[in-house]
Amino acid sequence: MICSTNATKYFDALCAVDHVSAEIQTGSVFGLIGSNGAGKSTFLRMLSGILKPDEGSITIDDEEIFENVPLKNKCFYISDEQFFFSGITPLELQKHYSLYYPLFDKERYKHLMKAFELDEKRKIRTFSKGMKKQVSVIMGLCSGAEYLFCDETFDGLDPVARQAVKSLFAEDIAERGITPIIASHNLRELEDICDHIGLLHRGGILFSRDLDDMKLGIHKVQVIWNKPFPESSLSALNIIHKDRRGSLYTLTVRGTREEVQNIISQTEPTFFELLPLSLEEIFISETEVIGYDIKSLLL
Amino acid sequence: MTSNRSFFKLQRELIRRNLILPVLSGVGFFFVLPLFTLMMIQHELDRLSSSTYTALEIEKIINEFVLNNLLSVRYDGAKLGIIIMASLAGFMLFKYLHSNKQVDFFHSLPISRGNLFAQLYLTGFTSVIPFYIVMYLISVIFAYAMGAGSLLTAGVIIKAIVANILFFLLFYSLAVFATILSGNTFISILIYTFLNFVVLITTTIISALFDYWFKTYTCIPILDNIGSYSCPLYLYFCGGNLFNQNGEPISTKALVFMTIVIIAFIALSYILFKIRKSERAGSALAFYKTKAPLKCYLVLVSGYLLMFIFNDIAGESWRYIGIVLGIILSHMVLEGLYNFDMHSLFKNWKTMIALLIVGVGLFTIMKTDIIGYDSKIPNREDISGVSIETYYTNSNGFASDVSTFEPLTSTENIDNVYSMAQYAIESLDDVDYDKYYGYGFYSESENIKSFSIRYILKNGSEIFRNYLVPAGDEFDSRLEDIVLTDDYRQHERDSVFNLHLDMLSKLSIYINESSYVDNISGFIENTENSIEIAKALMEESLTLTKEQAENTVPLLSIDFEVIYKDFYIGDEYIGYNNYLSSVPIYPTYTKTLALISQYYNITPKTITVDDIASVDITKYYDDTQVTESGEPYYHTVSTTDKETIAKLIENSIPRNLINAANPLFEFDTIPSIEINIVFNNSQGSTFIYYRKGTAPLDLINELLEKQ
Repeated sequence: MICSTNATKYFDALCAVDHVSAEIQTGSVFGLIGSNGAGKSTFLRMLSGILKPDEGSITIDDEEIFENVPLKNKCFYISDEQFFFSGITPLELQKHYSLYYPLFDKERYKHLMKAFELDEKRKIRTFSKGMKKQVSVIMGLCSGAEYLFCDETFDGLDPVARQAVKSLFAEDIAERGITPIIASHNLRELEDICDHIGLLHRGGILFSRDLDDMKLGIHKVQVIWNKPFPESSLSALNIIHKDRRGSLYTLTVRGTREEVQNIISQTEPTFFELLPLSLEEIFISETEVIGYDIKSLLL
Repeated sequence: MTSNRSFFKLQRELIRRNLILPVLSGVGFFFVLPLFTLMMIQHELDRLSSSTYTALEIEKIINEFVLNNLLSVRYDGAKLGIIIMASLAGFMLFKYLHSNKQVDFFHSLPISRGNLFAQLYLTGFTSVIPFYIVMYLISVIFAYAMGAGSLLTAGVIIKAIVANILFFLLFYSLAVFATILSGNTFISILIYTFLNFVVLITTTIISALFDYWFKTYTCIPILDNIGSYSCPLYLYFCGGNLFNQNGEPISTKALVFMTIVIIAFIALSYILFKIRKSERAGSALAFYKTKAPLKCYLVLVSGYLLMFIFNDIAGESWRYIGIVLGIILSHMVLEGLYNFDMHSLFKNWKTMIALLIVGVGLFTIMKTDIIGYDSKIPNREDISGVSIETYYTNSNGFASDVSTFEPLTSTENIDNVYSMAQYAIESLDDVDYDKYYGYGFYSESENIKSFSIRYILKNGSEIFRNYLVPAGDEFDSRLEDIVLTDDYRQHERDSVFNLHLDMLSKLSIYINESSYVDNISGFIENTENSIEIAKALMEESLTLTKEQAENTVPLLSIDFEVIYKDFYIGDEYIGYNNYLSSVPIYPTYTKTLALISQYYNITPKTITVDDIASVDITKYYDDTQVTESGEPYYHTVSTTDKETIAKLIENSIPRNLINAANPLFEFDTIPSIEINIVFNNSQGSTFIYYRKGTAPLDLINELLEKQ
């Protein structure tokens, strides 16, 4: 289990990660989402032991990760901006990683390189951005690491490769019990693969929840009344967003499906529909609550 | 990643990933060592074969050429290669710290920072040094093959390799240290350059400031030593004190010193590497706490540096302008560099104002000698010895150096020097030091005497001062007391005691007979005989009394030419020796005179009329009486009349004996008149002077008037 306790990181005067506490269960797929500059990459770099928290602690399996070589053997970090040695080929990179990761699976590496149709003797610098990402993912999956820290890993991958990577993750989760921690802006991708979501905003964590629980606890309601908006009757509802187009109200509300249904029904609407929220909609709603609003960006 | 096998596997992998280093090393050292050696030997052979040298001489010259110019520790080509490769290796292997992408890559790997440092550091060493050694040894083989390696002994080879490896490690460690210290490669290069010269520049500026602030400042030896020994480039190219210039193996002192410095830098780099924050990639300085002190230091140094430049170019009135401009400009440049932003030039302007106040204030306050530097004198009871350097001017206006090669330790001499210092301190306000030393010109017209003292304290430390005092008996009488003591004579710089007989390999004596001063009339080349004479002279020179010193003319003046053992390669003299000239032989030095007579059959003789062809008397007039062309007005009369010559040379003393005589010896000089005797048979000429009160003034004036 990965445990972040009040992890804080300053870059000069800027607090990039502000007292973030979260737990990531082993075997889960943790999606790290957040606004631009929220501190996702910084948090991920702390989790993978690159950065040392200025305050608080990051532990994996109850041990501090920073400068812990045996523990780092269980971790692999796939950077958003990958570095490859000048003139290196995937084969040479595999040999390089094999020196650090004793459990590196060379057979699987060969198999995956073939599956992704990547030439292991071609210079990586001649690869496209997506191909470089594929090479990194292959290295990470073959390294034998139990924790994969992926920063915008799906960015640049074509749909087929994205799907393939997701499948590989799923396979490794099932077979080896790996724990991918994926930071991304592509919430659609995360929605498919993640079972747990952490939302960061301006350095602090807004929440860290199970994705299904999250979806069950927030809903989009489309409703029409033939009377004015029944504000007092809806006071029991935790409305986090309200939008009106003509007589159609679109509300984003917190609460269980039953609670929301009961309260709305009591207001005798002429039309009422309860819709599930996508992860993207949840993100927009949650961040809007704390002032990160597209309207304010446009204004 | 902890087993030896893994360690070396990773080492090999890192070399492979930085293949440019071994490739550059191989190619570079191939060019500067084997290829250059072959080319230069061939070039020299071609040059010498067309000369008049014999085959044996050519072989000797070629062997020395290879030793001195190509394959010894002094070969600058190898030094240049070592410096370039050490710097490149340091920057290339650790510059990943300047890129966020690379830092993420390396620091996410399961390897500890300490291990990573060791791996990277060793990679630099193993990527360069084996190639240097191989190429050097190939050069040696080439030199032997071409018959030019006979002087390349194991000592020379080992010394060259060890010294170059040590300097590689020094420059490499400095480059690594600079790279770790910064988050940007350009700044790292600046820091690297700065580290090479920082101490030298600091000590030079401190010394220059002290010289400006304090009247009595002469030097702080430890500053000079620290300055030179702390500049790797100076050490490498000019480190004569560290490396003997004769192919001897590297000295233990040098080896220990270099090793300590290298270990210190490696240890410091290791610690900094371990604690360096990964996120500092891209920043000017990786350790923010160093920013402020470094800026303060650089700004103040720049201020004073510009002050000295302005002072040299435009004079004293520009000093403060120099300080102010230096501080403002350097502060702006540093803020620009720290922030990588030209808009930040005036950031932290309050600090700049504070530094201006400190820079100008310190400069002004120190000039008032607030710390009492000039009047500071050690407690008498703490002094174990003193050295003095000055000049004694006798009543004829002839100045003789008074200086010692080792400190004076007798109580009476220490007391005398101490009281001279006390007198100088009392006279601090009576003498205008600035006027005396103004613009580096000495002025005797002020009737001022200068002297330098080195106090050697019982705790081993040394204090140097330079004083000025009004000329007069107060000064002269103490000096006279000093120069006739055995303590002084045994430690006098220009004396036979300063020959270091145990260190010399060759001692020759040139004897100037009294009658033929400007021609050497005797030469004793045999070293053993010369040493015997030197020892006799040491013994007898201590017997000279004050009365003899004041009244006796030496019979002979002899010169010693000394060649020390250290300045030989094999049997071949390579160019360093020393002279001791005008050593007096008094009539009482019977043993010395007997030895000179025995070994060269020279007996001193006085000048007779028969030795002389003519006597020229020249009178110089006042400086204001000049010709139209600007030449001083003078005229010369010449006489060949034997009777007149006999009168003119009676009681005369040739110049060489005056030069050799004790400073206390007084004689007659005639103002504005020079008398020159010309010897028969073109055997030269000499100026003459007269024993006190015996100059034939009437005859001279009569001769001048006749003309």
